[in-house]
Amino acid sequence: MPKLTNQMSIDVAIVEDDVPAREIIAGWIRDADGFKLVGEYTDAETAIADLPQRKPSVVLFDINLPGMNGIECVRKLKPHLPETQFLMVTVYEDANHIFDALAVGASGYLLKQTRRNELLAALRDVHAGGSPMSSQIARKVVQSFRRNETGKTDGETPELSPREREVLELLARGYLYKEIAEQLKISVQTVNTYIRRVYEKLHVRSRAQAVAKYAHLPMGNTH
Amino acid sequence: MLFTARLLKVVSRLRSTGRYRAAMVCAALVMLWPGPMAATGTDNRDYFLRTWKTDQGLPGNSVTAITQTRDGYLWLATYGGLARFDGVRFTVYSSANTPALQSDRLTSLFEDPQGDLWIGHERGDLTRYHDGQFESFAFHHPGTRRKICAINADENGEVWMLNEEGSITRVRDGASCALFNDNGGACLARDKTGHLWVASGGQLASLHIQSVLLETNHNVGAYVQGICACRNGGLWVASDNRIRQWVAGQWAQDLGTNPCATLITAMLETREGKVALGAVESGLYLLTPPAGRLHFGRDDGFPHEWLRCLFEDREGTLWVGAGTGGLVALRRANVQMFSPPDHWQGRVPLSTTVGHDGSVWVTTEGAGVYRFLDGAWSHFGESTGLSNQFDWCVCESAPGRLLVGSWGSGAYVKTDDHFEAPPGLENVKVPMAALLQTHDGATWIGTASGLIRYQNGATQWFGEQQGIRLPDVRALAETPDGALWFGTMGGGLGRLQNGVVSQIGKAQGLASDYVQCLHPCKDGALWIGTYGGGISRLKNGHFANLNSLNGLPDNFICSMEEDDLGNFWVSTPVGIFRVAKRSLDDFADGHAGQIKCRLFGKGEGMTSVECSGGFQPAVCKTADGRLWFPTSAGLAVLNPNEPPPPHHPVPVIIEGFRAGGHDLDVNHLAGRPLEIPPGWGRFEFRYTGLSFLAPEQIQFQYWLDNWEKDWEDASTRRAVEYNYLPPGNYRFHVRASNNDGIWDDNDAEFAFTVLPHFWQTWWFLAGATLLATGALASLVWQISRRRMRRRLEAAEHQQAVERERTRIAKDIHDHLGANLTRISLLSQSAHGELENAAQAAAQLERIYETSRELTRSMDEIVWAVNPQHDTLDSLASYLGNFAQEYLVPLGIRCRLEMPLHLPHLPISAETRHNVFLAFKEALHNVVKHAGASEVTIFLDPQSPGFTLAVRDNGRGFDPSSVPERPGRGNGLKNMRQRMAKMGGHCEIRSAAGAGTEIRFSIHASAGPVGST
Repeated sequence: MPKLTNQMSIDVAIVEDDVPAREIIAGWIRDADGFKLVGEYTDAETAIADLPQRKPSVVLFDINLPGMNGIECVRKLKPHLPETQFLMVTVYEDANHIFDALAVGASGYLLKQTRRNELLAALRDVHAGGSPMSSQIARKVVQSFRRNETGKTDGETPELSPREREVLELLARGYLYKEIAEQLKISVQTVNTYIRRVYEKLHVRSRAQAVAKYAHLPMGNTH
Repeated sequence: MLFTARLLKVVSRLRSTGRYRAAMVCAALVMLWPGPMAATGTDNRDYFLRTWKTDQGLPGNSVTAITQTRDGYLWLATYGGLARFDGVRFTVYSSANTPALQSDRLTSLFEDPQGDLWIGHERGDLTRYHDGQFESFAFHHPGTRRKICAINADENGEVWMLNEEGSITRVRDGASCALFNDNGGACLARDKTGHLWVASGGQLASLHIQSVLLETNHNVGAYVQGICACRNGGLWVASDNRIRQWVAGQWAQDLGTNPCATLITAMLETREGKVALGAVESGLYLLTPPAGRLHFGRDDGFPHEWLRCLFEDREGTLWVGAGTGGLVALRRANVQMFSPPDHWQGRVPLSTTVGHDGSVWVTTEGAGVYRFLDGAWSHFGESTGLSNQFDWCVCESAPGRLLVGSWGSGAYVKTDDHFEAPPGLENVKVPMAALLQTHDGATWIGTASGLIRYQNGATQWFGEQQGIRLPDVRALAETPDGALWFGTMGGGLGRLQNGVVSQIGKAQGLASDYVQCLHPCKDGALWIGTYGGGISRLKNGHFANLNSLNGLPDNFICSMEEDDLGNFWVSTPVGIFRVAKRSLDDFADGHAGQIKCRLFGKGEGMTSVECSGGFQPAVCKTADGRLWFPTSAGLAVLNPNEPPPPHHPVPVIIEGFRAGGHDLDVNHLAGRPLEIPPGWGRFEFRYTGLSFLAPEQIQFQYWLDNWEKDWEDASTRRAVEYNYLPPGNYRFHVRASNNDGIWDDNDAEFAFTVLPHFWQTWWFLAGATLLATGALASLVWQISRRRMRRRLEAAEHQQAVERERTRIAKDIHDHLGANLTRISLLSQSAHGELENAAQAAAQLERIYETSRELTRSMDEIVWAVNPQHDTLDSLASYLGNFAQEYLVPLGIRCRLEMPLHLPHLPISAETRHNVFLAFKEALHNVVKHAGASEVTIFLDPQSPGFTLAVRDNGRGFDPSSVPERPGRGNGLKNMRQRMAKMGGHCEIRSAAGAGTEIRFSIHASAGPVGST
C-alpha cells in the first residue's frame, strides 16, 4: 500500500532478542538517511501483535527467537503484511533454517555480522525488488519442488516454469546473477524477477502445505 | 486470510464512495424480481451439481456409459478411452497403454455378477476386464459392426449385448436375435426378476433365453420411446406421450406426460423412487411420483443438454454423461444456496436479518441491500437513497423500521422504499459493523471507535473516553441481567452495565482478543466466537476455551445460532458446522475428551464454504426454523429439522506400492506377505478412498504395524512414503473418514516382509552357531574371542568418541581461542591509536574481520558436529556454499557440478569433517598456486561412497616434481593422510599448463572404526 507521508524513506522494524545487538542495528537504521525505524521488538508475540498496525516496508527478523521462533512468526505475519519484506537475520548460515524461512514468506537473509553498509544496502535492495538467493538455497528450492511432484496431485500448488527452473539450476551450479543473465541473454533485473516469482511460488506452496498441516492446530501453537 | 484481503479491497473501494454521499435522491427505485409461482415441495435448489472435463483428467468429453464396480470405483466409457475414477484421480486405459482394448471409442459398460467389467465399443467389439487384466472379444456377424449400446445379464447370469440396430447377442456362444430399427435407438432393461427386455423401433420385446427369441408385446402403446427397470417390479415405459409403470401386462402408475418429444437416450429409477430421464436436447428431468417434476438444464449449470447416459452410485449421486460437455454429478443438497438474479453484482453478502413480515434482509459489500420475500428478490441501491453500498450490518428496530450500518457513511433508516440518515445520527460517519435492538427499545451500534446507544433520536457514546480499550466493536449481545456485552477486534470482550464499562481479554482466560460474534444462552452462559482462537464459554465468571485441537473444524468463528433441537450451528471460513450444545458444555465442564462436529461444506451443496464474519448479524433464523448464513457465494440456508444425510463409510483401497524404485503388485498375493529383497529403500504406498460425496475432503489415517505405534494422520493425502525400513514383517493399514468425520473400521491393509541380508538371517546365524558348537574347544575359543572382540570394539568406540572430543576441543582451542585472543589484543591497540583515526579504523576493521572469521569457524565446528547434517546432500550443499563464498570474492568463477538429487547416504561427522578439511586444503592450493580463473567442483555418488573432485583451469604442475617443493607438498600430504584415515584415497592429475584436478574417493560405509 503506498504511503502518503515521507514517501522517500523505507520503514524498517527489527525483531531481535539480543538487546545489545538490536540496539546497535537499530541505531544504524535510525541514523541512516532514507530509513525510518518504526518498531523494535524482543520477541515474536509482541511483534505479531504490533507489526500489522505499523506496516513496515522491511522487517529484520532474528531466526532464533525465544518462544515462538522467527520462522513461525513470519508464517503468521506474512498474510497480514503482504507488502512487507522480511529479511531474516542469523548468526550461522544454516541452510535448513534459512530455507524454511524463505518458504514461509521471507525475502532473503543476512548474517548478523554483516557490515553496516552492507546491511543498509541489503535493506535498500530488498525494498527495491531485489531477490537474493544463494546457490545452496537454490539447490534446496529445486529439491523441494521435485519432491512434491510425486507427492501431491491437487493441481493447486504452483509448479516452476521451465525458465524458472533453468535459472534456479544455474544458480545451484554456482552461477552468479550476472553470469546467469549472460548465459540466458536476459537482464539481471529479469533474473531478479524470476527469483522473486520462485519465492512467491515457494511461499504459496508452503502455505498450502501449512494449511493442510496446521489445519488442526490452534493459533499460537507451534510444533 | 481471505477475510483480511477482502477488507483491504473494501477500503480501496471506499475511497471513491465518499463522492456519492451527496447522492441525488430521485424517485425511489427498487429493483424487483418476481419469485416462482407455486413453490411447493422440492425445487432445483435442493440439488447441486459438479462437472468434470478433460481439463481435470477425463480422457474424453463425450461420456457414453458409467458404472460403479463392487470395489467402489466409478468407470467411465468415453470416446477417448476408459477411465477409472476415485473422485480425485482418473486412471486412463486406452488402446495406447492397453493393447487388449480394440479401440478408444467406447459406448457401454456393465459389471456382471462375477465382478467382471464388460466394455462395449462403437465398432461392435467387446472387452472384458477380469482380475486386473483386459481381454478382447470379437463378434462380427457380416455387416453388423454396429455400436454396442447396452450390456446386461439375464436371470442365469449370462451376459448379453445389444447393438444400436436392435440385435442382441449372447456373449458365451454368439447366439443372437434381433428387433431391428432404423433410427439407432435400442435400449435394454433387466426387470426385478432378472428378465431382459428390449425396446427398439418403437416396439417392446421380451427375450426368451432358451430359444433365443424376442417376443414383442403390443399393448404398451403405439410407440415406445424408452424403458427402464422399475424397482418394485415391471418396467417404466415412455410411450404415447406418457411415462407409466407397466407390470404383468398392465399399466400400474402414471407419472404424467413425457417431457421428452424425441427418443429417450437415458432413463433410470433412483433409489428414492424417482425416474430420471432425458433425450438429445432435453436436459435432465427428475419425476417424483405422483406428480413432482424438476428440470435441470443449461441454467442450472449443465454443460450440455444432451443426456448420453445416466447412472446412480451407491451414495445416491446421479452421474450424467452430458453431450460433449463431460461428466456431471447431481446430488441432493442439505444446504440450499440463495442468490438474487443479479448474483449480488459480484459482491459478497455480509449480514442478514429477518423482518417482521418474514422478509430476509441482506447487506453486501458494495452492492447495497437485498430483500427476499415470498420467493421474490428486491434490490435497494443508490437510487433508493442508500448512497453507500458498502453496508455492513442491519437490524429492524421496530416493525418496518430497518436500520442499516455502512462503512464510512454512517447509518441509514428505511421508510417505505426509501433510505435516509436516521435523525440524530446524521453526522456519525464511523464504520459500523454491528447492530442490536435491546429489550428496552434502544438500538446499539458497534462502530470502529466505540458503542452508540441510540433511542428516539438521542445518541450516547461509549468509546475510549469511557475507558474502552481498542474500541473496534464487531459483536453485540444482551444478557437477561440487563448487561450489554460487546466483542472487539483486539480489545477482547467488554461489558456495559449501569453505565460502567469493564473489559476482559486473553490475559483473563479468553481464547483470543479478537471477538467476532457473541451468543448468550438461557442458562446464563455467554458463548464467544473469536477470530483465530476458537470458541470461549463464559459461565459463572470462568472462561472455558474450545478450539480445533478439541475437535472444532476451524478456529475462525463467524457466527453462532441455536436450533430448537439443542444444537449450535456455527459458521466459519471452512463451512458451517453443527454441534450439540451438550457436547460443548460437557467439554467446557471438563467431562468430554473430544467434541463431535458435523461440518457442512461443498459436499452438502455449499457453492462456497467461506462464510462472512465480523459483521452482525452474520446469521438469521426465519419462523420456519431455517438458518440463513451469508457466504461469499450467496446465502447458505440450512434446515436444522431436516434429518442429516446418512453416513456412508468410505471403501479404502491400496492402489500401489513402490519399493526401491520398483512398482510392486499388492493385489495378487494370495494371502502371503509380499517379500522385499534386502537393501531396498524408499517405500511408497498409494491408496484411495472411494466416496464421491466430497472426495477432496476425505481424510486418511495410516498405520505401519511393527513400525508405528498408532494411526498417523495423512490429512487428505493419498500417498505416504518411508525412506528406510529395517528387515522385519510389516502390515500397512489405511482408513478413511468421510465429510461427516466418522472413522469406520473398514481399513485396507496389506502385509509385507523386508528380507534381511544373508548375514542378518536366522539361518545364517544358526549355521554359524552350529559350526561353533561342533567342537568344544572351538566353542571355548569362540566365546573368548567374541568377548575379546566386544571389549576391543568398546575400546575402539571409546577411542573414536575421544578422538572426536579431542578434535572439537582442539578446534575450539585453535580457532576460537586464537581469534578471541587476537580480538582482545587488537582492541587494546585500537585503544592506543585513538588519536590517529586512520590507524584506529584499520585496527577496528581487523577486529571486525577476526570476529567474522571466528563466527565462520564456529559455524564450521557446529556444522561438523551436528548429526542433522550426516547426509551426502548436506555435505554437498555445505561444500558448494563454502567454495562459492571463498572463491567468488577473489574473482574466481565457481561451478558446482553436483547432482541436484543425491542418494540418501549417511556420512559420519568425522568423515564429513575430514572431507571438508581436505576440500578446504584443495581450494587453498588453487588460490595460492594455480592462478586459475575458474574452479569446478564435481560430486559423483558411486556406490558405496562418492567421489569429490576439484578441478581448476590454472597453470598446473608436474605431480612427480612435488616432493621437492616443500610448501605445496605438505598440503598434498595432508590431504592424502586425511583420505587414508577414512579408507578413501586421493588422486592428483595435472600437467604444466593444463590445470589441476584433485579427486577424493570416499567409501561412505568405510568410515573410521567405531564412528557413528
